[in-house]
Amino acid sequence: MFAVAPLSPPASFGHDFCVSLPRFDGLGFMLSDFGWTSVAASVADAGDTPEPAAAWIMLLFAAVMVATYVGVAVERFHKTVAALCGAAVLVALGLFLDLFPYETIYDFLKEDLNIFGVIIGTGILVDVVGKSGLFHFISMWIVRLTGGRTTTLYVTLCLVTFAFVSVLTIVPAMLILSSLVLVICKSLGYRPMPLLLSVAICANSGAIATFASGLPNIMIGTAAKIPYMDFLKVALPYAALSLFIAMAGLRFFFRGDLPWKQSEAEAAELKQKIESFDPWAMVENRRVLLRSGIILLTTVMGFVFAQTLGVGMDFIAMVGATAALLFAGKGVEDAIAKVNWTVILFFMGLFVIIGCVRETGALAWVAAQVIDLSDNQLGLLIPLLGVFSAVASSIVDNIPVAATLIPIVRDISDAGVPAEPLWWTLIVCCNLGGNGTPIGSISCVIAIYALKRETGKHVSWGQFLKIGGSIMLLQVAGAILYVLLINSLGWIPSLPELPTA
Amino acid sequence: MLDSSGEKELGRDVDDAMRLFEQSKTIGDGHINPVRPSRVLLVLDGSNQDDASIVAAAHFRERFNTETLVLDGRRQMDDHADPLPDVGQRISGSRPVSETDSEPHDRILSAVNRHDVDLVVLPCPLGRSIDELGAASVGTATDVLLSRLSVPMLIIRQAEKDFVASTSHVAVVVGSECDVTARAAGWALGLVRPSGRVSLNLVIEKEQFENMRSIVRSMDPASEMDVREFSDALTKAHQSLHRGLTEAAKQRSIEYEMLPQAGGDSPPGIAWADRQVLIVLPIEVDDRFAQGFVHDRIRRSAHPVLVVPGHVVAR
Repeated sequence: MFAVAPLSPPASFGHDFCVSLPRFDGLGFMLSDFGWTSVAASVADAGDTPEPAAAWIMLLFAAVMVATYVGVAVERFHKTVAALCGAAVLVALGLFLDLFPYETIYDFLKEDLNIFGVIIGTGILVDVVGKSGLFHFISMWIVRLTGGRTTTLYVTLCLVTFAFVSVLTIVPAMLILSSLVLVICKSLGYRPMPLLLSVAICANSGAIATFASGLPNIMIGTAAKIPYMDFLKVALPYAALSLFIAMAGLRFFFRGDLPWKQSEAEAAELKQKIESFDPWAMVENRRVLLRSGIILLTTVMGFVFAQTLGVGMDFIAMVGATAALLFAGKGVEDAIAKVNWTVILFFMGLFVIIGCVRETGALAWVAAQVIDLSDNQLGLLIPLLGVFSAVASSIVDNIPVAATLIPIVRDISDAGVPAEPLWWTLIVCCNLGGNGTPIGSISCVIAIYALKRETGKHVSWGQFLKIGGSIMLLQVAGAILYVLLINSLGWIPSLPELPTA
Repeated sequence: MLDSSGEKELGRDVDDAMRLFEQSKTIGDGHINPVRPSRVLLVLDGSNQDDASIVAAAHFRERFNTETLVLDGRRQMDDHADPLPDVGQRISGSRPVSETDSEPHDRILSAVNRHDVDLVVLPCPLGRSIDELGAASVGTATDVLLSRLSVPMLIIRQAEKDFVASTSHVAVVVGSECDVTARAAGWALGLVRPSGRVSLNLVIEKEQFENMRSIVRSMDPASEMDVREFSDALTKAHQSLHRGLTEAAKQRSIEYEMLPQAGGDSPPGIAWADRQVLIVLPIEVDDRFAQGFVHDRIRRSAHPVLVVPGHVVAR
């Protein structure tokens, strides 16, 4: 059912690409077959269609890339420093080996300039809107409606997390919600760990929901030119399903950690306690709050209709940010300083690393191996990509995983495999992979850090793996089945313009 | 995993968000509910303050039916030490708890964590007489507990002061913006004796006032900023709390007044107060200015002081 057309030679590598790939059966073999001359030959035709370089060069570049990712994963260095170091080494090596001209580096970055626009725009917008107290207000207002009962509070927190992450992105949403959980638990006498971990794990479902709900979505969505509406059609339904899986799993794992059954007298006492919170007390200026809400809503609508309007997401994000600075901002400098420049520099380093490795042909070789392995069957390609991206994302930050897999998915799809199911698999699985380990996603990192800081309680790896790991397995399995199913039913919208390698 | 700078930044962001949410609890719906202890940790140190501490704990037992846990707070707990007063005779249902840490403050922190205590009664300075140190120091144990204890702490200062009498006037003394002021006011309402008096003392000491005025004048030379204007601003800034306390006091037939004290002199020293008063001090432990203010007020107080902490970072 999922078979696709047999692999045709990738256009970008010429007809003899498959046969000219190096076989890694010994350094001597590689050096004899792919010496300096072949490097020079590959460089001669370098451009948008990189020719495969010598095997040892591919290995060398791949090794530097892997070393950088290991550096990012173990945090021996700051991840931005690790990425910039990796980029500097590979650019120097590329120039030294005459693999590409210096100007090619600008091409690596040029393709992704719009991502920087989206990050800067949403960063400013979210900061300004966040400072207005809008989301603090909404979250407290909603939580107050629950009356403080465990089950209602738990369900509400999970749903609010999902909604906030899909609009606000994961970091600001987690900062608001983890603080809310700590304050509410302290007041109502609940253990904060179950609710904090629930919020962290449900956040990764929210991260799938829209184009702007997470950096991997922005990267993949931009690279694949996926319209915002397609996220609502394809990603949102599974985001909701994965949220349901997470909520059911968390309810099971925390069955003995919270007082799920409460008497009427207890409920009355909880209601009295939770009603002592006044959401309006957090709002400094109601006019700013209203303006912030309108600007955010308009920006989200702008994302939805960006394609119809014939503009990019980066333009919408920047216009939203400008409006926020004009009408709702208190400190322009502060808001601009809040833009995550660390992530932007990290991205720059990462894009240069990926560009350099791609120039060697190593990523295309990986793509070819994947196609060989899966025999061009989507039924194998989707599980393979899903499992790999989820597992890799649970160990390394999902941004480098997405960045590395984007050109590979492009190359695979250039070989005749439909790209759409692969992009969606990548989006869903590299977000959900974050649930696998305590360091897999920023939501879990924030929750565990806040718990340790405010209550002194530590969540061990074993404890997290049991809960998060099990939920991740179910969610990723579900995601693979979901993509296979909607693909077979023809429900995946075609991309308006397929990206070219 | 986070590096140290990331950890600091994340810590600041979490603090900011928590502060905002705590602020919403501070004001509530205008009502301030009285807070009363249910389980008290009574720390004894073998000093002449023990008797006053036991009187306070016995008062809580009698008035609120609290459970009393007794902890030996002496540095040396060997067999040769003098026995501590027999609390069982004076506080029904009290029971000793033991902790193994060598430092008294560590034992107190462990006991608070293990027994879910909601109030600590602590002699200050712990293990030494107030007559020895005077206003010079509150002692190491109090210092450490001021920055690490997450539950309120009733500090017993002078052995001669009658805690029960001091509950006839409970003064909530606020020296700076603080998220836990309403909680402190709740404790004041809970501890004040029926038909007693609660005051909200909004304090900007003379030195601090002069500093602020010089800064404001350097920005705007035309600014008058006299004491009265400043007191009005203080009143305005604490309007919600004032409204809540007024309402709560009316319901409970308690006398209440707000006392803005801008530009006033700081208390001179331990001998300053002949009146009986229980001082309630809210403190955000991550606010260095508030810490200094609270520390200073405890040092200079002969009266019992209830410290209500907020934003304590777990260790």
